[in-house]
Amino acid sequence: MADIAPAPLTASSKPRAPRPANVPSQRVVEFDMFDPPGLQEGLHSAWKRLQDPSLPDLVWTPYNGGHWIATRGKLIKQMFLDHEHFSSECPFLPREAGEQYSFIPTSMDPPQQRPFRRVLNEGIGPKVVDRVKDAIEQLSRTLIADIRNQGRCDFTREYAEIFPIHIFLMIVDLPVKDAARLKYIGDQMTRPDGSMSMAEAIRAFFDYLSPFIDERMRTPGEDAISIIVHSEVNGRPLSKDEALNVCGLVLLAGLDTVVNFLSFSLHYLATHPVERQMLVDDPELIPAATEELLRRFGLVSDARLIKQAIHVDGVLLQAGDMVALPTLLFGLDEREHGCPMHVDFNRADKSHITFGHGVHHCAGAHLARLEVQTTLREWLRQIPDFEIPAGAEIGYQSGIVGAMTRLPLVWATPAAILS
Amino acid sequence: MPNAIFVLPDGQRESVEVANGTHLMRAAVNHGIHAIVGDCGGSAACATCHVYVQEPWLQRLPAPSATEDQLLEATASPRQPNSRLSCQIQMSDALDGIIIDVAPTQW
Ligand code: HEM
Repeated sequence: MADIAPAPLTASSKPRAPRPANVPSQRVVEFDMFDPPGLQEGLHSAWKRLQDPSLPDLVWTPYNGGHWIATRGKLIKQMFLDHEHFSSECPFLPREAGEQYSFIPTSMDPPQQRPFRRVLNEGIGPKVVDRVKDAIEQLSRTLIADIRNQGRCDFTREYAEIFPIHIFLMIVDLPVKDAARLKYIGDQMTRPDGSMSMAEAIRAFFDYLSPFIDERMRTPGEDAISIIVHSEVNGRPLSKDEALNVCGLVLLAGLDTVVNFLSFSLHYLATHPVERQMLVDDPELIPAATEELLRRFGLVSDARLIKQAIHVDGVLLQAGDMVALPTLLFGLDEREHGCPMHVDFNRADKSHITFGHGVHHCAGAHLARLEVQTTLREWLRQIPDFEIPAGAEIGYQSGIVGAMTRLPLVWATPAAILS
Repeated sequence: MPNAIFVLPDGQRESVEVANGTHLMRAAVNHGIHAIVGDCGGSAACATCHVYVQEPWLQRLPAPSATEDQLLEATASPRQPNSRLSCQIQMSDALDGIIIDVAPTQW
């Protein structure tokens, strides 16, 4: 893409692992996935540098313990599907963090993983989500109505960090007042600031969840946690430990993903008035636009552990190596999509793996789509015209889940238009 | 837009308009047909969108890929000669009116 200069990948200040014998020197890139070069200009453009034509499809970085990165859509998909070589046993980087990560079923491979998917589907699948559809619309409408008269907001703080978390806490029936604390702990797993190790963050989730799980094992309600703790795997009830690890995952996945995706979407609409107007004029286009935004603004980069040595893209991956599988690079790959950096709601093929690929495909995808579509519909209905104030700074963070930390927006209020 | 008719395990019929190019699994899930699960999101990895396709539409479908064929060996409801994964069926004008019986169990 012409708008992205093939800038050199520059060094992070973090420790570097020595290059193992199976890594050819021409595969080495200087890429810290938690602080990639060029992040200030944007998350996606920073990752896109890994698809510079001069680089091979599979590269190795010395940061975060040293790991491979698959950079092209086809290779990423291939690795997601081949769970016999590319295991979820250690699904997060760096490896020390991934090894402490015990959530179910993200850290399992088939066949062990399969029965837990059924549990997830019963807890947070389409049937459950369709039941709360009206509540989702209602909350979105009210939140935006409150913001609208201010004429400005930090979208990230005042909408994106509230709406999906609120919906999610409703589905699992946990107190909304705990949202900020839970979000902080979740962030330490996906974009750690060093204040907590992965093990400590998981422990904090368990300490929080444990009394709720006990209570719902005794007196179930209709919420997702009650459904999950009362479900069966392989003909036996879930153990307490399994219940903690499934509910912990649901909490993490529900707290950090839609939040960030919504900010990327609104940032795009704020800076693209023509495309925004298309959706204002024809809200029927919103589901298609949502898919195109998902293609363009993927955000999850988790990882796999190589279980058996395998030759890929001309190099030998050894058992014990780690590989990052950035879902966001599939949609940005020009071998998958023409003009990939360009958003086109009418693009015929909007295929993406933003929700993952293969057996671990996002169990919350239906909920996520509904939350995004509802937000776009309600926001554009109430605030059709908005922009980023001149000189305002947008904050980006990279990690297992990419994030936008600040998105200031301004618009004319009805009062201002009248006066 | 072409139409697809999903016959649910309880005998109820749901008629759904499906845009050309859209996979039947996605159309069903978006339409609230929960008897089709689509657990792997259409990546042909799970066999929870198992359907039986009626004639004459069955013969108009491209043959199943090796991956689909393998997954159909492990479906929760028995495989029949007209078993398919609905995530691998893309709507087209030739399939207008297609009648699909949703398999009684997907897990
Ligand atoms: C835009 C929003 C979202 C994105 C981009 C997203 C992305 C992903 C990705 C890429 C995976 C695969 C991880 C892997 O292969 O290791 C995944 C798994 C998962 N997601 Fe999401 N997700 C989103 C929203 C949600 C929501 C709202 C929930 C729940 C309420 C959720 C629940 C889950 C669960 C439970 C899994 C684990 C499935 C398994 O390991 O089998 N996600 N998600």
